[in-house]
Amino acid sequence: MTDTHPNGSPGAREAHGGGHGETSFLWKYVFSQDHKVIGIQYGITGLCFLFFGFTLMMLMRWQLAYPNQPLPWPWLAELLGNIRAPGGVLEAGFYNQLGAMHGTIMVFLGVVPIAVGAFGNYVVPLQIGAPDMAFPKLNMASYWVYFCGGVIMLASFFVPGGAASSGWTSYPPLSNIATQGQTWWLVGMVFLITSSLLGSVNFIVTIVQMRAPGLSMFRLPFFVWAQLVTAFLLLLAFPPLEAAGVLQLMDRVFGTSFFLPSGLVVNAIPYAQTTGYSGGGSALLWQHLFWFLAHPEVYVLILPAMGIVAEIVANNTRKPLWGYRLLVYAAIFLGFMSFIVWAHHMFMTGMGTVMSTFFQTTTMIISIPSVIILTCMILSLWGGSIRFSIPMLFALAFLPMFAIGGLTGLPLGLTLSDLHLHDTYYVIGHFHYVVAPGTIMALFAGIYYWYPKVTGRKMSGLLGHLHFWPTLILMNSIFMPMFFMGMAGLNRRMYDQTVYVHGRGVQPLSLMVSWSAWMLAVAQIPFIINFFKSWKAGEKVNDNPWEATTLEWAAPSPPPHGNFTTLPEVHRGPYEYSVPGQSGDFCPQHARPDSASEGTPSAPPVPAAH
Amino acid sequence: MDPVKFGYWFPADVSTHGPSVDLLIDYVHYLAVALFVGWGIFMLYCLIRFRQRPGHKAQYELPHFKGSKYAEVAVALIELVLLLGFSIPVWASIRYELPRTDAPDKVVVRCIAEQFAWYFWYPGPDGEFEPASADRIKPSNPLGLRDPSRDAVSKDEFHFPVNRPIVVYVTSRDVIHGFNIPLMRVKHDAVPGLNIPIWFQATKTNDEIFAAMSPERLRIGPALVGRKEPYIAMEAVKAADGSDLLKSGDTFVFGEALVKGLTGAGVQELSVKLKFPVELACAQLCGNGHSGMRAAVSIDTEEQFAAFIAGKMAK
Repeated sequence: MTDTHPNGSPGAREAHGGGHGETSFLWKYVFSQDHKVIGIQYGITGLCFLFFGFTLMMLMRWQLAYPNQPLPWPWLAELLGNIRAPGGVLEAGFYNQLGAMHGTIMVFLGVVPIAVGAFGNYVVPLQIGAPDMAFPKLNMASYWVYFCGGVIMLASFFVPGGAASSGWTSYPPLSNIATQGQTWWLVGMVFLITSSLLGSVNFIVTIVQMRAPGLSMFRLPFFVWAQLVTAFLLLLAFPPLEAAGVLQLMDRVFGTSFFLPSGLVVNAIPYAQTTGYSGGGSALLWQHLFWFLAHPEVYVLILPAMGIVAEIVANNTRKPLWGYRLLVYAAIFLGFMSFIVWAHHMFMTGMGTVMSTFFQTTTMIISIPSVIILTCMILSLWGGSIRFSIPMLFALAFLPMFAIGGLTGLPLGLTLSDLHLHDTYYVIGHFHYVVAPGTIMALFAGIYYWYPKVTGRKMSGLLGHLHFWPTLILMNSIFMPMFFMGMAGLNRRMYDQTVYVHGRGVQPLSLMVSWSAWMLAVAQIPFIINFFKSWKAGEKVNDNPWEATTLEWAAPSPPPHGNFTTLPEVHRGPYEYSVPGQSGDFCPQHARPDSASEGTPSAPPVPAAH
Repeated sequence: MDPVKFGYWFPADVSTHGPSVDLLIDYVHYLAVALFVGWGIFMLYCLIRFRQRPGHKAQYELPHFKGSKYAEVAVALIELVLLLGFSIPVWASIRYELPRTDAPDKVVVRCIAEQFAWYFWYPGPDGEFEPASADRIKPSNPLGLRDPSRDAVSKDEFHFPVNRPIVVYVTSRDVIHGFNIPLMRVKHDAVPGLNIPIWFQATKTNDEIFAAMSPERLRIGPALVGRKEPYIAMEAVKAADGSDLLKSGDTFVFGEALVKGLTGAGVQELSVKLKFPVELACAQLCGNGHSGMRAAVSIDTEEQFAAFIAGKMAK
């Protein structure tokens, strides 16, 4: 890039404006190119998928709590039908479909679309003072490709043999010999990956090129940094999985054997006799390609969550974040390291000592930036004037929950302790602590925090408390017992764990997990009511109800097409709260230095691009 | 030691390398708990002391924290010690320092996994494995051996002698399975196309473990029908007509008739012990029968093991 101006070429900020004139309903709300509408589309679709994925898991929890007993409600058994639940008892194959699709939907259709598609899309252009994303049409395409991927995934439940059932990891050869649903899964994944790639390119260009005047990289809110690192992870890690997906598709549809070694014998018959496959492939190759994506994917799930939490912590402690630059460097280092730890998912496949030494060393190294980020956030509380608003409660809960998730990664990252814990419920407890009580709590925090920006109204505080406290307690009573089940040696993905004496020993914990999960669903009712009711009936608030400093609060609520009535100019860092010698306790990024003491935005002299 | 008591921390361990695995898991958790409690106390203190209230103002500049830097360096150092002192060397020794090929007392077994069974293949008296070919596979010769009478093959029952190094070549012939004996801290993927040796050594026999374990009360229900693992009854049960259904000490398998009889006699829970309390579980999702892919592990005395091999050869 020859242009060394920190804000990119001035043309980039104006050239995009062509697509902003459409007004018909279809173009305004369905095939919208406005980042805010697309963000809301992503958000609502993602929340629906999140709830659907949760429902799948609640079904599985019945079989795990009451193995081989009929479902409690006859209508449910009838709905599932005789193939999926003969006599009301979940069938083992259907259980595996539920497991595989729970993982796939939660990760690729629920959490990432909300964390990146919804929050990234809605908030990033506002926070950098841009009128929209750099490529609005690409943005629209990204959503609709994601939507198609979701429809394909859902439709796969209804094809002969049902949906994919080889786990969200789809390890061959199991996935190669699986029923048709696996093919649909692969096609669906190609769509979802394509969507992520389109989105990530857009984010990178937008953040690099379209920052408001004065908004240098180290004045960016940490959330934008988190999204930038996330976009690079998506851009660089997904292509290998897309390639792997196509290879597996070739194996399944065109009879190649990229992932099929020679000499397979399936059902006591040589596989070559029944299919004529040639062999010579490697079952482990898929695992390398899959985890090359799926480990950075963990940071795709967690970085935006950290970004949200950072915003809310700064805003609600009324002071700057502790170690802002350290946070940024740690996030970049985390992103880089996440590309060279993937094989710690494969310690039990028989890799050599050199490889396992390398990967457990990198895994220990990557724990350091995570510890730094967490420490910065917790130290940020010191000296604050902490407001316990609903978003802050969720953000605060994120910190210890993510800590548990991160710390329980340590014994899994060392080969020797992984020996006992690999593939057990301990692993499930570990990554769910990162993603569910971790990321999902942060996503809730973000919803409560930016809701006033999106709608101009606040969500109810009472319903927020009714949502927060049971959710926090139940998340823990779901995932904490899993550590003990894993310690007992109980393997994951078991249709009926009472087959094993070590499974029967921890069966009471399994009951506790199931009941907590069902109650967690009930605990989401206040949120659902709050979410929809506040849209029209919530308390009306001004443009900056949290008295925040970052640029999204300089726009009207909800922001109009083009976002800012006048494009803002930035004069300071993102978290200038409680600056000594000033009357207000916050100093917005766009407030001009002379008027900063009033804490009110002043009109920049430059007219807007629109 | 009671291998049936689960749910709080590790199960019992009957392998030579297990204690080092457990020790590392303990150490990592000490570190984790220390960090978590440290963070937690600091966080709670901040939340109380710095809560928003009239007259309280946030500080723009923070005092210079040195503690966090020390804590981070300490974490890194502890991780380094765990890595260099425990994980890397012990892992290398249990995974890659296989017993020497000429070690006189080692036992070599091949384990072949398939959907949803485990085959354990022992060489005959000649000490050699017969050549095998998939084309010869039939019910009487499940591994397709050239001469099945020259080797011993056991399905879903894994016998090996105590106090001797056991080398197992683990592979699969269809999908990926996971060779896992929780009570021995043994786990390795069975990957088709790869034939990877692992080794371990047991410290207790099946009989010793059996004697140490307390009986378990098993809930009687249709789910038990078809379970292939043998149990030993710890109490006598009379059928509804007064005849003996089970005598204390009987070895039995849950068949349809027995479960029906027990249900008919109004038995809801039965006190039993597993005949082979050490279990081999499949650790990798391998299809619809995954959770039932269980094998019994019998850690034998020399005599028992010799008798087992002789019995398999005679078949």
